[in-house]
Amino acid sequence: MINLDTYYAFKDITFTYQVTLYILSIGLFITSLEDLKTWSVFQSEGILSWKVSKLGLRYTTKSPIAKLLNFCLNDKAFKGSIYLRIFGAILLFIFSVFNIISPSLLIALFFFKILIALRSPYGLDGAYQMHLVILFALSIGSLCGICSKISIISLCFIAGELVISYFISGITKLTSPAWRKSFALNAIFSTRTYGHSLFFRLISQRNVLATSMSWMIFLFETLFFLVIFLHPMHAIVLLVTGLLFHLFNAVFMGLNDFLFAFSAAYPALIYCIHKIHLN
Amino acid sequence: MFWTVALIFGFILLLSLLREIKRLDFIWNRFPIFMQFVPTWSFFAPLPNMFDYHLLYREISNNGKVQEWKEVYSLEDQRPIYCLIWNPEKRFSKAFLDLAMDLIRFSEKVQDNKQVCTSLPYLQILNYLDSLCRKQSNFCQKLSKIQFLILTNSRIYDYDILFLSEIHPLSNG
Repeated sequence: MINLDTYYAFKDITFTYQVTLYILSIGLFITSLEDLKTWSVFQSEGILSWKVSKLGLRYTTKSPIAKLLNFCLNDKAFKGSIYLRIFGAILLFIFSVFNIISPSLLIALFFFKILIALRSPYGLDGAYQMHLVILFALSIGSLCGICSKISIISLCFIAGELVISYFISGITKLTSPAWRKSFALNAIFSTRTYGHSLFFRLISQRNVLATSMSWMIFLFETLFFLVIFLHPMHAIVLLVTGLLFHLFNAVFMGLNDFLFAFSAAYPALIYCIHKIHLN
Repeated sequence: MFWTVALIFGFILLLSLLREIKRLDFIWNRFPIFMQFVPTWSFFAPLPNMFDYHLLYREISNNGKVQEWKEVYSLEDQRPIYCLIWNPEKRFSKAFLDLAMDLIRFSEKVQDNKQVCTSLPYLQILNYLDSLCRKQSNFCQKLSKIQFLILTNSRIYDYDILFLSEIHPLSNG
């Protein structure tokens, strides 16, 4: 018999925060370390050079906060913020293991994460956005006390954004001729950027596989919001499907950051489902 | 306090939903900095990325001698299995992909080379290649020039020229 004690433990908000921060810290640690490894991208000679980026923003050339932004976003300061993010992620991980929740640490990590987008919007993805959503919500929630009503709606916000993300992703695919005619999957997996040679060979030889996978993605993403209305015991199927979906994307598309960013949002969703159905 | 926070969260959730409606772009374009932080969730849709983007450059000396095109980086045919956890290479490839797509969209919109050459994506790529060329090239002389090219291809589609830049003198450093 499967032990669902851990699943039902998400009725407790403290446990939900703890697991969220545990997964979030791992994701933040990996992405920050990746930023450090590819530091040359952010340098003055890099493809995301600040000396060029700042020319495109009015606020960094002609505004009272221009000096402050230039100070925070120049190469030295930005590299320093990457190191601080790594340190902060390690601290967050340790804190989560010992069930310590630090609002100031969450706020600091949120601030350092924002610096990336302020510097340049290029190269960012949905995982970055989800990290920001979780950090923003948990900063506010933890600041007001994790057992407070504000803390609860912070988790509802994370769950809301998670559900909306799948819904919008599904709807935009459904309205796309490329996806409806099922050649989108072939095209994506034919690339080396997001594709996979073995998987591409598999779906290009079997049209029915590409078609059925496309429709499974539509149905999963568009109908995922129904998880809120399902009893926790039935919701498990959709939740596990979601995690497997991200695992698949990490393995076959190299989207490793999505696996941790979106997984970190799942505890909030499970908490909300328990709150709705088991009160 | 509770209702203020609830309203803020509700507002952001609503914006996340509405921002996918293209007819409302004229509103979002008025607040670009703020909208950067409102999530957009249309992954690989409506038009998914169907190509690999390649960045090439060549040097041209003042006496007109043209070097061969050199590719800046090449994508691996098979991603290592550890990329499901650790994939730092995606940072450069995603950044370049975004810059290339933005550059193409802008060049199709304005049809004016001068404006294209002063656009942010163009300048980012040019700055990057200028620095790279000064560091790496044996042929590099203070007075040589540079030109870059963006190609696309995939396992299905053959190479296609997407964008050819103007010829620019290398900076002196």
